[in-house]
Order: sequence, then structure tokens, then C-alpha cells
Amino acid sequence: MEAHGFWGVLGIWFSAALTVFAFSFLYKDNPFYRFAESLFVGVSAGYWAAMAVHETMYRDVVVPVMAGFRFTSSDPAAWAMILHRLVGCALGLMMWSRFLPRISWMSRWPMAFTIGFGTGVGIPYYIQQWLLPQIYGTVVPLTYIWTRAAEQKKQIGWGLNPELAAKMAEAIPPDGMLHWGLTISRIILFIGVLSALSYFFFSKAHKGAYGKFTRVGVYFLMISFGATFGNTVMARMALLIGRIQFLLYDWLGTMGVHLQ
Amino acid sequence: MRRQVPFIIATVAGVLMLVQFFVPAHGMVRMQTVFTLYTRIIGGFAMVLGVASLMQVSWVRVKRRADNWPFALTTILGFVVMFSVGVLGGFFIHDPTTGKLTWSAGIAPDKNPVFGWLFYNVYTTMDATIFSLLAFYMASAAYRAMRARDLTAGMLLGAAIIVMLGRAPLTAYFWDMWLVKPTDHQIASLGEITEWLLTYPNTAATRALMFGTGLAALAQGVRILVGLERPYMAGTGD
Amino acid sequence: MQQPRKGFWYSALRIDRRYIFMLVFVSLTVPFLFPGMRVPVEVQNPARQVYDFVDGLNEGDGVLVAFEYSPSTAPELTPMATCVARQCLKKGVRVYALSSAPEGPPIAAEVFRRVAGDYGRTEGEDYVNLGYKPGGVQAIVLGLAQNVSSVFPTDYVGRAVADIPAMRHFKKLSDLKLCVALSASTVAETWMGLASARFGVPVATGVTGVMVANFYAYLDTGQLVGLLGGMKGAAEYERLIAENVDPERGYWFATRGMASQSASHVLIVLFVLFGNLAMIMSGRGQRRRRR
Repeated sequence: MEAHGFWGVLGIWFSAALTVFAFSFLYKDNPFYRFAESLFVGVSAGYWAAMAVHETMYRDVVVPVMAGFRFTSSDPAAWAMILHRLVGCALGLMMWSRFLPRISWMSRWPMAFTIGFGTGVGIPYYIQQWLLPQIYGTVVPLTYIWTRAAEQKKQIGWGLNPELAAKMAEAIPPDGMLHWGLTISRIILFIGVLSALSYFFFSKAHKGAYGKFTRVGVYFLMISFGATFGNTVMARMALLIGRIQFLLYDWLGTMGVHLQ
Repeated sequence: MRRQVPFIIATVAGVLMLVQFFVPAHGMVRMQTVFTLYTRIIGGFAMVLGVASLMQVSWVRVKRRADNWPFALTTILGFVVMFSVGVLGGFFIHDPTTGKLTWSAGIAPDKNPVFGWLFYNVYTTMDATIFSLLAFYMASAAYRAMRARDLTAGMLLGAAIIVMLGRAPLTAYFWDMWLVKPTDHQIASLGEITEWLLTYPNTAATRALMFGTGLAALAQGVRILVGLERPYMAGTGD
Repeated sequence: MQQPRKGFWYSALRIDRRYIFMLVFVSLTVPFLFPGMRVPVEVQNPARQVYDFVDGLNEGDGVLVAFEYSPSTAPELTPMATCVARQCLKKGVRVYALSSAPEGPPIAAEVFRRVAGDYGRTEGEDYVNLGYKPGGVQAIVLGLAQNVSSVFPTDYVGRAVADIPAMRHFKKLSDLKLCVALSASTVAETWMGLASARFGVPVATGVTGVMVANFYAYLDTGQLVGLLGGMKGAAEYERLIAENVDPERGYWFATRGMASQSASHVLIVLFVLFGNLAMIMSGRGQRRRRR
């Protein structure tokens, strides 16, 4: 956020102070860090509560119900709308019964509804998302046909201009040709999926040829975990880069130091 | 009744939503609209529940003057100020386009000056900073814990190193300059090697895990619908 | 038992981690002090696919951007949102923003504030910030599929959607040509699974580096039309925008961080290699002493 006058600059300095307080934890735990952490917890809780009260209680219950009562004489459907909002509100209030041990059993009803709703939506979702397309994608295609359009796109990606790339692509037959490299890659993918799945099948002992096959699956899993770790390093460093950019550009900027 | 009614609610809601997927008739669509409304409203009340629990814990620590109680008081004060400013802002903030007094404009950090100041300078800052500390611990873990003690660990580290160097534009640039361009792209660029690693071996393993997760989630869903699993009964005294 | 002699490798394995923290901080900060240190970013296919898909849209089409993240992951995801908004608003494609995370709407408002004026676009006509709704992504997407105003009767600042001109073209999810889900969690998968698989709206995602490896499987099957992965993916998209859409105003937030990103990655690789070398050397030293 750009600085606007005195309050903007004060805000940036306060942010910078909180940032340094939080980083001080790296040296050791101290009261400055705890102050910053507890202030953050309180402010974030206040923000979440204000948003929830506004979005749910005000916008989803109070406003529609009040509007509905204005139309009940002219539109009978307004009564149904009011009823639904009040039922939802009642279910929400039942969630709050968790604070009172004697009636905390009432919170099971909205929880059960939410979990049932999520399960009913989830079952076709799991099949549509994780099972059928992934099975299809593993076996289709096993061979890879390289087309002129793909070759042209590759050449443009390597820095060639479109006309020259189109000329280079003419070396590919009009119907395309088998790309050995990508075909082998797809076969590797197929074998990888089978072997990694086999590793998790513990009803059969991992011995002999089957044991060797599942070992291949372990290697694929290790490559995947390594790739995830590499990407996680990128992600964590990016977050720290964001804070450093704030300190160097926004905070130093208030002192007249402008880095490019 | 206290145990049966929640089971009936969960099963009926679940089965109706499942049937609606296959029978998108008007009545079923209307039912879905109502159910999504209930879920949204319950979600909002649940958020307030979570916040209230946190404040209750903090208040107890302040009342009993437990260890570090001033920090619990800071939490409560932060909550009270932020919540009040957000809620009360609606009675003073006008929507700049219509000129009308609107609570919605009051809850928007970029329209409510005090709310916005706290949001941008406390909430956004600390949210980002707390997460950024992980970068340091990750570096420490990389030095102290990442050991290639056998072939599988070596493969994990090898893949991690390739991905890290491939995702770093500087190393990819030097690889291109020294190996790719002089050989006229006979050697793949580091970025292409990384993409191949992610697209084929990584996808193979991810897919296998996805099949397992999908089947387990499917089984869990069916168990919830038939009542063998009742996660909604937890934490309510039974 | 004879105690191992504390040599260099033994000490190296037990170095105080605060020195490591300091090296990390220095490696990330120093590149910013040399602004000329800008390295070209090689664009890979996943990011290019997002750019190409948006490039194929026509003026007047609608794109939904779901800001499903909090400020903690903004350095990776906000540059992606900025690029999508730039490319769409330059072409005259309408952009609709919403969120199931409470922190999403102010981030969206900030993105629009930064970008819209550069192309003379106005709120309500060319872009709308619908705001936040609690209750989970499933409920939101299912509601949007039937009727947008049932989920978002007003926008972020309380204007009725019936009064917003751009909302005449977005009554339900199938009116859109693309959904871009920006998320640091499995919410992006939910958008893809419901909006794309169930309701047929193409979905592209932008995710943090932690999750990007999981999404290549969806890219392979065509469940995603494109994928932006972490700050590198954002930098790739920024390069495409700067080269093809807006050479003068390419917003270089992610690209600016690439030199630091490179330095930190090299440092981590050196840590891993040095740590393993120290383990090997200290193990050899111990075996020699036992003999």
C-alpha cells in the first residue's frame, strides 16, 4: 500500500517495527516477538469476526429477511425465502451451543448437516477429479504424435521468428510423426503410476520380481518428494523476498532512499 | 435421539446432494440452492465460534493472571479494537459512488481508514512475516537434516537440486549460455529438464497417491453416509 | 570410550543455526542492492498456456478471478492476479473477483486499483469485486452455478448486483469463459473439480510453490487449461505481459525478486552439498581414529 501523508508513513514504520519484532524470534524468543504475535492474533480474530458478522448475519440473514417481509403480501414465495434464512440462522445458532455443556449436543445437528452436504458433493467430485480423468490420462495417449504446429511453437519458444519457425516446421510431415522422446516419456509415466501404486498394495509380499517392481515405484515417489521439496524452497524464499522488498522499497522509501 | 437425529440429518443431506448430481431436475436444483445457503450461514456462525473460543481462552489467562497474561490482554484489546472499528465503521462510512451510508463500505479496509490502517499495517504485515520465517528454518533443515544416506535419499536430493536450480533463472541462464546455445539445443535447458521431471516422474507418483487418496476419500464418504463414521459427534460430551 | 576429536567437519555439522539464518538474509537482500542484476526468465509451457488462453478471448468475454489466499502468500500470487487483470482489461475482457477467504477482497481491490486506471477501465463496467462469502468453496461454486445473485446479492462495498452493468453479462457460472483460481491450498482443486469437471467452465490455477508439483497431473489430463507455479510462474507470466501486452508498464514485482530467488536457491543447494560432505568427512575421520 502506498504511503499517504503522516498516517501512511506511520503505518509503514509500525509495519517495519512489527516485521523486525517477528524476525527477532530467529535470535531467540523475546517479549517483542510475543507482543507482535499476540497483537496479530487479536487483530486477525477481530477482522474475521467482523467479516463473518457482516457477510453472514447481516447480508445473508438480516437484509434478506427484512426485504422479504416487505414483499410477503405481494409474493407468497417471500415467506419461503424468509423461512429458509431463519432455518439457516437457527442452525448457525445451534453451533454456538458448544459454549454451554448442558446443550452442546445441539451443535451436532449443523455439524452433521455440513458434513453430510460435503460428503454428498464430494463423492462424485472425487471420482470426477481424482479417479476417472487420471486413469484415462495415464493410458491415453501412450504414443506422442508431433505436429507441425507443435514444432513451430517450440521454435518460437527458442527465440525464432514465426516465419522462420514455420519454415523449420515444414520438415515435419503434414500428418505429424511419432516423437520418440515424448513417447518414451509417456511409457515412463505409465510404468511409474503402476509401480508406485503397486508399492502401496501390501496384501502381496514385496518379494522377487514384484519386489523389484515396487522398488521402482519407490524411486518415482522419491523423485516426486524431491521435486516438492525444491518447489517448497522456492515458495518459502518467495515469502521472505516479499518482506525484504517491503523493508527495502517501502520502508527505506519513507527515508528518501529509493532503490530501483 | 441425540445420536440418531444427527445421523439422519447427515445421511439425508448427503444422499440428496449425491442424487442431485445425477438428477438435475428443477426441484433438486432448488434443494441444492437451499442447502448451499444453509452451509454458508452455518460457516459464518462457525467462524464467530472459533474467534469466541480464542477470546475465551485469552480472557481466562488474563483473569487468572497466568504466565504472560499481558500478551493475552494484548490479544483481547487487538480483537476489541478491530471488531469495533469494523462493525461501527458501517455507521459512518459512505459508499463513494452512491453517497449512501453503507455497512458494507465500512467493512472494507480500503474504504474505512482506521480498519484499513490496522488491516494493512498489522494483519497483512504479520501474516506475511510469520510465514516468511519458514524460509530460515528450511535453510537450516537443508543443512542439518538433508542427508543422502542411501540411494532413495540420494534420488530425493538429486531431484530437489535439479528443481531448485531449474527454478532459479540465474542458474538456468548460465546453463543455457554454456551448454544449450553452443550445442544448438542438442542439450535441453535446465528449465526443460525441470519441466520434464515435474511432468512425467513426478506426475506418475502424484497420480498414484491421488488414486489412493481418491479411493480412501470415497470409502470414507460412503462410511459417513451409512453411519459407520460419525465425525460430527466429536467434542460434544458423548 | 575414546571421545571423537573435534575437527573442522565435526564443528561444521554443529554450527549455530543463527549463522545460517544470517547467510540466508544476506543472500536475499544483496541482489536488490544491484538493480542491474536482472536475469531473463525462460517461459515454460504451463504459464504460456494461461497466457495463450486469455489471449484467445474476445472483448466482452467474462473471466472470474478467485482470490483464495491471504497476505501470507501474496508475494507469489498477487503478481499472477495483476498479470491476469492487465491482460484481460487491456483486451476489454471483463474481470469478476470474488473470494472464500476473508482477506481476498481487499487484495483484489488493491490489484484493480493498481491496474484498471492504466487502461481507462471503470469499476462496475469493466470489472467487479464481488467480495467474500463464508461457508466454503463448494457452497459458493454450487450457488454460482445456479444464480450469482443468490450467493452475492451485493458487491464488495454493498452495491446491489442488479444495479451493476457488468453483472448483466454474468448471471451464472456458465456465462464465463475462464475461471482463474489463485490459492495456497486445495481450494484451487475444488474450483477445478466443480467449475470445470461439473459445470464445464475452463479453469486455470495459480498456486504457491508448495503445491505446484501436485497440479502437473491435472495439466496433463487437460483438467486445467494452464498453471502458474509460485513466484517463478508469476515472473514467466510477467515476461509474457511485458513482451506482448504492455511493454511500458509490465509490473515487475515477481521478476524483481528472481535474482534473490536464484541466489537463495544456490545457497540452499550449497548447504545441502556441504552438509553431506561434512557428514562424509566427519564419518571418515571417525573411522580413521578408531583404526
